[in-house]
Amino acid sequence: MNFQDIILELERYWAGHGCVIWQPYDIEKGAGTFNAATMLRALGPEPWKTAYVEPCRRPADGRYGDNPNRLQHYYQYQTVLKPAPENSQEIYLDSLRHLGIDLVEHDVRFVEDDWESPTLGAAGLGWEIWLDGMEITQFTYFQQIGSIEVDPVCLELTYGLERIAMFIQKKDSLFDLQWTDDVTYGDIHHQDEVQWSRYNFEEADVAMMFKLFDMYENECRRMTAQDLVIPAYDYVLKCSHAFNILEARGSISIAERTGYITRVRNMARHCARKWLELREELGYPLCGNGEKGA
Amino acid sequence: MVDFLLELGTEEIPAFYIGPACRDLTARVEAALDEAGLQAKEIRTAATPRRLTLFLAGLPDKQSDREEDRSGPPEKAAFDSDGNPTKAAIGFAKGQGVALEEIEIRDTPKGRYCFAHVKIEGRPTADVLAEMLPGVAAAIHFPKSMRWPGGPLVFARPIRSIAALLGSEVVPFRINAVKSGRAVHGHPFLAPESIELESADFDAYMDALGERFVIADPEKRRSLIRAGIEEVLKEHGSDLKEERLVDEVTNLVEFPAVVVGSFSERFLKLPPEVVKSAMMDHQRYFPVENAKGGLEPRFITVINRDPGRAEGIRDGNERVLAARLSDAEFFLAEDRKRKLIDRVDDLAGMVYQEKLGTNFDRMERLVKLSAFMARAMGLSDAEEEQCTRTARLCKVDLTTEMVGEFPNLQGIVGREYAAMDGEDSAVAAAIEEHYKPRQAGDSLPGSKIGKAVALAERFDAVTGCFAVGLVPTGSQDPYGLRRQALGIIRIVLEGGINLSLEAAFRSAASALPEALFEEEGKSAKDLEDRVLEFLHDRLYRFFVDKGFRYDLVKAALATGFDDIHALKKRLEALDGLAGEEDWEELVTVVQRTYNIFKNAEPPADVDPSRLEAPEEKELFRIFEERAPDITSLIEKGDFAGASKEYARSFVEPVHVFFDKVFVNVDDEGVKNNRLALMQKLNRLYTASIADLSLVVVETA
Repeated sequence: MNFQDIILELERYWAGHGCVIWQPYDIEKGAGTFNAATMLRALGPEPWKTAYVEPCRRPADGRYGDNPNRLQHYYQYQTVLKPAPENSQEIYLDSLRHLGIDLVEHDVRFVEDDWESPTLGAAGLGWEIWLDGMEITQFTYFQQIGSIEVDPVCLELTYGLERIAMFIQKKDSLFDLQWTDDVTYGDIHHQDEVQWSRYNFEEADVAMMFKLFDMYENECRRMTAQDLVIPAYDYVLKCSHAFNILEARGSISIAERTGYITRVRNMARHCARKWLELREELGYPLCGNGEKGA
Repeated sequence: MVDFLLELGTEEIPAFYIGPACRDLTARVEAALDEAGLQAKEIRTAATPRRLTLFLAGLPDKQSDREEDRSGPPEKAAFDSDGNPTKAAIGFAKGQGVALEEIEIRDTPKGRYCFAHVKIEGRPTADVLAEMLPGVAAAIHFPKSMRWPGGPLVFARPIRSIAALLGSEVVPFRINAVKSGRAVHGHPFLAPESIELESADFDAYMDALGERFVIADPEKRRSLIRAGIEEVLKEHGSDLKEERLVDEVTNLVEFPAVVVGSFSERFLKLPPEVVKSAMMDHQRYFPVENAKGGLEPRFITVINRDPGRAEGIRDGNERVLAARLSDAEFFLAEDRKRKLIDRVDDLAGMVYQEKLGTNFDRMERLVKLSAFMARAMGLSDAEEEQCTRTARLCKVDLTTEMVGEFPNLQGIVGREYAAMDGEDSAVAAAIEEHYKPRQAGDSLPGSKIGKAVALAERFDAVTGCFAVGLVPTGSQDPYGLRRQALGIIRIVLEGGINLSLEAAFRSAASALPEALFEEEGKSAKDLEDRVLEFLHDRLYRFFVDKGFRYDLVKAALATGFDDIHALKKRLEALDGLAGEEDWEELVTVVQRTYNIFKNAEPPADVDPSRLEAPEEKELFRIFEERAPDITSLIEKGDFAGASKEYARSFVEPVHVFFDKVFVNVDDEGVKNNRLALMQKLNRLYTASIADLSLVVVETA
């Protein structure tokens, strides 16, 4: 199964389960959780089901395209189901079966993982899903987002698309994955890795990034004060990415690190609150959609 | 008599939660049943990641009926002067479910009161269980619990099914939205359909699960896993060492099978600890060693499938491990671009603690402090050089990619890289050793260099943290200072090192940033007092844990603890004396002499010309005569001999003194002179051996 077929099959599977097939958000982010379709929509009483591909950037994970297992840019497939259904595990396992993975012949494990994102003030309990020893998904029952309790509890599934493809295609290098029959993952992304690794580790303008972080933070504050929570949240993402680049450049000491993370978390918390206020003002429009929220 | 079976069917509970949760469930059910007057004849449990099971054999069908006398209002309030019942009497009878005429009046110490004799019918066990179980399940303690949709109750992971049978009947209750019933599930992939249990029959339950690829007895899973692993290791001539990993893996699977995989020999060029950590910590694989202790290019994994499926599963696991190991190769290659010594400046980019500076600042302190330790330990100049070199390099591996990926290998990575750099082998070894002992029971640094730097690192940590107020409180000790102090005690004591704790403390304090002492109210003296008090408390705990009597430890500590070896010798002497005949007499002398002057401030010396009574003159004469001998025994370290000599010399004359001489006379000069004599006598013992006034003498 080609890389793009895996995506198409997941889209079909989750669409069949009533998910809104969302699209990637057009701002850099470290994980699909940062997409407002998860981060904000997971909050509050409204039912919400969505699934989407999310390109993710983790500047510090770059390896100049030399390492067959690490990328600074990769793809997650993100599914959010609120409230978390009673058959959460089964519905997830069926999605693997849908990809043609034989769960009798292969060893699927639910290995404890207390997921936490200090930058988003988010935490949940669940597992890493291992397939013959390879972590292919994070399975999380959100307990808290933006430092606010999630109620009803929401299920987040984060598939590592490249990992699943490596398993299905039995490849030892990410770059050898077949994106289509004719084009490999390396054909598409190898140069990105080489160039971005150089940029992230060697060339990114540190002074500019520090300045941008401050500017983005101010803009976020200003927008939250104006009750423009949706634009405000974009600047949380931008801050987070500037921070990630600074970290890859080795420009943030351990002591400063906590300070920057706290700043992003505070922004995320304000946005989460404002978002909840906004939905309440609107009368929780999705609550009438046949399914009850809380 | 009836049996009860409970299975809480869950999503995968974390491995290390399972054993304690099972015990907690058992204890809570037992306690609740006990309170209800219901006792089981036998209790059995089972557990897998997906179920906690409790079986109680031989429960009574119902609580036994009871009869009870209940007291009511006083007679005066219950009946009027004509003997007619008042509202109070009527209400009481109604409340207790007895007829008015059944109320008895009895004499009590408080007067005459109404009593009702009531019969309480025992409730059916099923009702008691149904009422109690939701609360018991909710009370099970987990390190972390979670909510899930359907109700307010929290648990380690969602509960998805409940089987609860008393005999052949379902005990009806709910936990969140889950209703109890009789269904249990087999292996989620090999036999996912549910089974209906007919009755609470533990053996039948275990058999039914066994047929459905679930070995519900953790001990059985563990022994299967052990046997499988040991068989493989035996072929290579080694034994199973990773007991904790066996415990974990036992509770990661319901149907274990042991599978052996291999990896490319080229990864054996990596430090073996790195390869092991990748296997054990990241993948829960068991490494395979040969008879010489070297690594074989193999690993053992425990799968949750029948062995027939091993082939494909092995392949996937081999590829995952190869990926992890090639990552490690990449880190090694990156890290080796610069020698450790050339990375020392990188420490300046890592903050150790806000007020205590960066790891570079800390390295500079460790260099000074290690030199001090080397001199204190009487090491040669060459060895001192090795100590300071070790101190310079020992934290540098924190800047490497390898330690970033394998944080538990700090020290080990440093040792390996130092060896590759061509550093002195003693320095390379000491880089690893300076972290030892890592926890209680761990071995000490093997070399003198390692011991010196380990002491330096611990004195810096303890002194630094106290200086900035990061002190342990109650159960909180985030910087592990108690462990660090224990390390100091063990290295000094077991390592046979003569070290003055005060001198070591002063050396550590003098290396700290001066700004720390410039803040108001923070003097070096104050810091010294607090650190020494902390070490005092740790020594107390250490020796009490070793089995010494707590009052003897206190007494020995009160005399001093700067030299831990001397402290230990004094304590051992006391421990020996405490069983002997003249022990009580010895203690009495020290206590009586102490009690008489404790609230006064007598002069330091006795004025012989002012001694009046013959008994005090005699006592002073004996003191003058015997003190030099006693002191010389103390100086030789013969504390038991000194104690015996002290008792032999003073027990008799001190008692005579107290019998015949009145100390607190009006003449201040005479009185103070007598107090001075008492003080001198007392101090002769307490200043050098132990303050026996803190000792508890058991009287029959």
